[in-house]
Formats: sequence, structure tokens, C-alpha cells
Amino acid sequence: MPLSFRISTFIFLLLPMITWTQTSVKVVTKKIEKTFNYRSGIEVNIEGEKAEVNIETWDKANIQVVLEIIAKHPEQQVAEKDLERVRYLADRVKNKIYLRNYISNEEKQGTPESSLSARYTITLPEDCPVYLKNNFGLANISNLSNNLRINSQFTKMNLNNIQGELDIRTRFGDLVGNGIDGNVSINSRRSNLYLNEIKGTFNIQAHYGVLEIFADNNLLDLNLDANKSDVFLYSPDPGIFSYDLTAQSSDLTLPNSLGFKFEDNTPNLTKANYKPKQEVYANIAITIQLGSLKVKKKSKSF
Amino acid sequence: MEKNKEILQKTIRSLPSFEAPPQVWDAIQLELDSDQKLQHAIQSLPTYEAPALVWEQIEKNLEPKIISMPLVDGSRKNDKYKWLAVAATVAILLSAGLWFLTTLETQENIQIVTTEETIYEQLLIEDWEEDESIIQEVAQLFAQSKVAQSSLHYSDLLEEYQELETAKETIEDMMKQYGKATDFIRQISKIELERSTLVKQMATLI
Repeated sequence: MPLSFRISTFIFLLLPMITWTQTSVKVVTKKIEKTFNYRSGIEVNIEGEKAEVNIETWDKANIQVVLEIIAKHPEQQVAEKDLERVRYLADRVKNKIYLRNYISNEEKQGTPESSLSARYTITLPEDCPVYLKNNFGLANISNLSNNLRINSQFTKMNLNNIQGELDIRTRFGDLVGNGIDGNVSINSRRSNLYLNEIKGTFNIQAHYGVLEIFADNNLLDLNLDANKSDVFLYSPDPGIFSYDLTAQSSDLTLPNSLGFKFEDNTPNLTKANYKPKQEVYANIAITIQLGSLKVKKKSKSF
Repeated sequence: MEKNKEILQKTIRSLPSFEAPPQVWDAIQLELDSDQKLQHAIQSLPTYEAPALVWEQIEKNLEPKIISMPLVDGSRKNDKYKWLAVAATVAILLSAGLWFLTTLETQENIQIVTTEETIYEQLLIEDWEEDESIIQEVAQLFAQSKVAQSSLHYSDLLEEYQELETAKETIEDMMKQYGKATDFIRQISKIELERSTLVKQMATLI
């Protein structure tokens, strides 16, 4: 290979790296720390905007809140000035602890030069009920055991080891759940759901999304109503569940080994069901419209 | 039993009647309103529970103490000690409440820290408006097309288009408030990807 060709190839490969302009920015962070006493009946109510919300648990009877408001800009003075646009609230009213970040109406008039965001790190007792409303951001929640309600838009949620009553509403966001156990209600629109090792009772309504659900013998009931969505249901032993499946204008892929009974099987409507031999079993009822459903044996969770 | 019942009733009926001037009713209403406001304000007052330590301290102070006292004029001395105990309890309660309010509930620790990080400006380029005119043109043609109108999915597709338009506007509005950031641009990219698929679908039905 001639040397000139090697050099020109090297420059050609290097070119995209050279054109990636890096800029150094100042990150000004206002960190607010506050601790509240906890007793049974108190609920934490979070309303985040462009916020990363991290919720963890501990054995103390306290709720610790660390709220960081962040402004990024090449000039420190500009970042410091823009930081003041973001208001916050961390107060207790009766049995509720309200945590909120927002931009006030008067500040909404202009556009900031900096990139603004907020980050909550909340540590609380595991039985403390939580209500989270988040627009644009990220939520990482683990080890809660009582009541969790989420209403989010454009937010990615990671839930780990959550028990109790769960009510999740998500729009334009993704939900990744590991070890969710309890009475769970999920209403999703244009959101993808990845649920791993689910336990308890699940009621899911999904519209425009990809749903990957991994279920084992800890599942009690699953009712899923999916519209214009692709659903993948995995289990190490799909034969332990009872199935009641309805697919309207949808593709249905089922394990041949189970011997599903088909009531209707036309291009527009397929109804299939299966009952296991054992006396006690979990029920899986799925209705799908204009999408696809695939039930598959899979020994490991994704 | 009234002996002259009829006379009494007649006299009562003949008594002159007066109507209160409107400002009197206004004044009463104002007073009632302020009562309601007060009640509402009381309801919205925060409630605080004293920590276990406070109750333990009170308990200690309330424990009966053996005090040797002379027999003469004993009742007056007892009264004096009783009042002292009450005063001490009130003082402890007040100071405990104050300590509770100032240390565990309301103390905010605020710090401002500055660090540095690197960003890539290429990731912040807003280029999605380049194809906006053609997207809108296709959507408009689809909305007016007789062929499209006869399609089963006509209203679903229009509704979907509208939903994606609104979502895009919401993100752009949020970006105006919180500044340009890669996560906003990533979300707009996802919306644009869906819009592209949708517009292509619309184009086949025109």
C-alpha cells in the first residue's frame, strides 16, 4: 500500500474527530439540603421539571432531601444569573412533604442562555408513600414497600424492588421495572415498558409502545390491554399460566408445545386460550389491537 | 299560663317593625368571612409531633418527688411547688417545641458549588425544522384528499399526527424555559422519527 494512500486514509479517518468541537462549560450547582421527621401517614409529594429524581430508602425515621439546581454555561456569571430562574419548594404542610422545582411565570418570558436542570436525592423510610410527578427527566426509585404513584411525561423511569400499591401513568417515557411486586396499575402511552420478574397483580393499558414482560411463578394475574403495540411475554415455563388472548388485526405467535385452543382464527380476529393442568394458576388476559403479541419460553430475564 | 293571651298577642302585632340598614348585614358578613378565613388558616397550619426525647423529659419532671416539708402551713407550700412544676413543664414544652422547629423541620443548608465539564456543540444543533415545510405539506394534502378520507385509518393517522405535533411543541416550549440540552434534542429526534414514519404512511394514502 503506497504511503500517500495510507496518509490520506489516516486523515480521512481523523477528520470527523477533528470537527467535533468541544466546549468547556461552568457548572454552577445550588445544593439545598433539608431533613424532615417521618411518622406513619406522611406522604412525600414531588413535582419535578427537567429533573432527575433519585429515591432510596434507609432505616432512619427521617426523610432527607438533597435538591441540586444546576446551570451550565461557558461563562460562570451567566450560569449564576440563570440559576436564579429556577425556583424551588421543600416544605411540609400537614401530612405532606412538598418538593418542587419550577420556573415562575415572570421568568418564563425570556429564554435562558444556560442549560438548566434539577436533581433530587431523597432518602426515606421504605413504608413512606410517594407521589411523583415529573416532566422531562429521569427517575430512579428503589426499595419502597407501601404506595407509589407516578405521573410522568418524557421521563425514563427505573424501578427496582418496589412492593405494595403502584399506580403509574407515563406518556412519552420508558419504564424499566425489576422485581415489582404488588397491586400494580400501569397506563402508558407512547412509552416502552420492560418489566422483569414481576410478582403480584398487574393491570396494564398500553398505547403505542413496545412491552417486554418477563413473568415467573410469582405472578398472580396479568390483565393487559395493548393498542398499536408490540408485546413480548417471556417465561421460563409458559405452561404454568392460564391464557385468554384476543388479537384484533394483530400478529400472534404462541408456543406450539402448549396446544392453545382457538375460538376464532381469522385475519382480523384471533381468540386463543389455554388452561394448565394444575389446580392453582395465574391468569393472563391479553387483548391486543393493531399490534403483535409473542409468547415465548425464555429461561433468563433480559 | 298567660291570662290575657289575646291582648298580649295583639300588642305584639301592633309593635313597630324595623329593617336593619344594609351596612349592618355587610358588617356581619365581613365578620363571618373573617371567622371562616381564620378557621381556614387554622386548618392549614402545619402540625408537628414532638420527638420521643421531649416526652421522656416531661415524664421525668412529672414524676412525684419526695419533698420534706414542715407540717405547719403545708397547703400553701404545696401550692407553691405545684405552680413551680407547671411552670417548669410549660418552659420545657416551649423550648422543646422551639428546638424541634428550628433543628429538625425547617433548617435548610444551602451551598453553591462551581465545577467544569465538556460539551460537544454538534449535539446541540437544531436541524429538525429543515424538512418541516414538506412534512406539513404532506399532512395537509392527506387531510384534504378524498382517497385518504375513505381510508379506515384516516382519523387515527390525523389524530396521531396532531399528538406528535403537540408533543414536539411541548418539548420546544420546555427547551425555551430550561435552555438547550442534549436530552431535549434526543426527545425531539424520537418524535421526528415517528413523524417521518407517519408522514410516509400518509403519503401512500393520498
